[in-house]
Amino acid sequence: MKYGIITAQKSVEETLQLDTRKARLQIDLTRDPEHLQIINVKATAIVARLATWPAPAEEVLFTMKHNLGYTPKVLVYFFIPSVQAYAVGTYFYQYGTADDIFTYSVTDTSFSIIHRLTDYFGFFDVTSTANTLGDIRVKFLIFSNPVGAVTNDATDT
Amino acid sequence: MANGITVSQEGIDVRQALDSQKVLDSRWRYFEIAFEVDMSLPPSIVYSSGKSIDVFTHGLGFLPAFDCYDVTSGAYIGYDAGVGMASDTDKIYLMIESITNRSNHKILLRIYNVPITEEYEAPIRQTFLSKKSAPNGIGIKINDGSGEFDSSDIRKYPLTTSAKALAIQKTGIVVASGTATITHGLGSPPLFLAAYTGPNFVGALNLGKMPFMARSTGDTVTLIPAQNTIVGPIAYIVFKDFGEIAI
Repeated sequence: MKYGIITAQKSVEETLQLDTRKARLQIDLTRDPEHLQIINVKATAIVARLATWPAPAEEVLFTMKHNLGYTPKVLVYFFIPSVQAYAVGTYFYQYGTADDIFTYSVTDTSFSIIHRLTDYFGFFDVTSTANTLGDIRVKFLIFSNPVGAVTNDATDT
Repeated sequence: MANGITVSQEGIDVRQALDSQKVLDSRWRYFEIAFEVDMSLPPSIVYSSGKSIDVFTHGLGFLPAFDCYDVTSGAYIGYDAGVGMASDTDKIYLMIESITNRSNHKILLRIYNVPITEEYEAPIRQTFLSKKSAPNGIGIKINDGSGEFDSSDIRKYPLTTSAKALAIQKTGIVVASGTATITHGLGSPPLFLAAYTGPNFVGALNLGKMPFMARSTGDTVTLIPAQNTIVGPIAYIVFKDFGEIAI
């Protein structure tokens, strides 16, 4: 490339600040709906039924079209008022014999916030108590950079 | 500023812009991508305790922030309890897991031009919100060399005033024994990322399921466990962007 901008720290030759020959993770501020938002979500007492085991119980707390045409990389922060803490990507409300989590899912068309209850043993119905958490604040950033796959589910492995 | 360049997001006066509303300020670092590598892991990865395989040579000469998305399994590969993806100053390698066989898995590596273990702190200029940024089509964009200035795909522009770029406030290492506290002084809880590190390596950032949560005040971030106890050195990035404000 012949043209661009390079900035380096004073007296430092390393281009650790900006080099327009290199890409950056960026969030397009012109998108509608916005790709950088803070929302509030609230879980309900979903039930992982023995009759449908091992399929997890799941509810979609928020969803929106991102209109990028590919599956984007995202960064999601869950703020949990009861513990006054942020979780990145996935919040483990309960874990062990059953995982009760808040997470996200992205496809090439939409972005969603998910509440999922996974019962690992299947001896009886398991009911989530995440409804007692009240409002959970979520800040999400949808980058205009592909994650590299058709679906990006934070919790597959 | 005595010397340098500063550019704000569209629709906000550069003199009123928060630090996090700058797409360029030559006093601080950004989350720039040094390498983006789409590749496949070797066809026959056989588990052997403590063994690793080399994945990619970056040759940066420092321990970089990086992440690795496993396209085949559909989730990030992190680094925890001695397994997962890690980097030394020269290359990325995979500590082989007994649980997940990643033979032939397609991965996307993003290695950032950020020496995450280096003690670095940017100067702070403006951290109290004065105005929300509102793109108005008046600004600048630097093309990636393709010559396509009409494209609406911002991947064509490594720098554009119609997009937010993540500016870095601080990087370094904290040692956890149950918790670990980072002082940042931004005045409001910031966004952060963190990964386990060691004397000669740093683990991959797991953007899908980070092993650390954070209690945050205006001046500190305290890492706490997301699931398992956290112990040992942790490399971190504190961004200039806040958790409480969408701008």
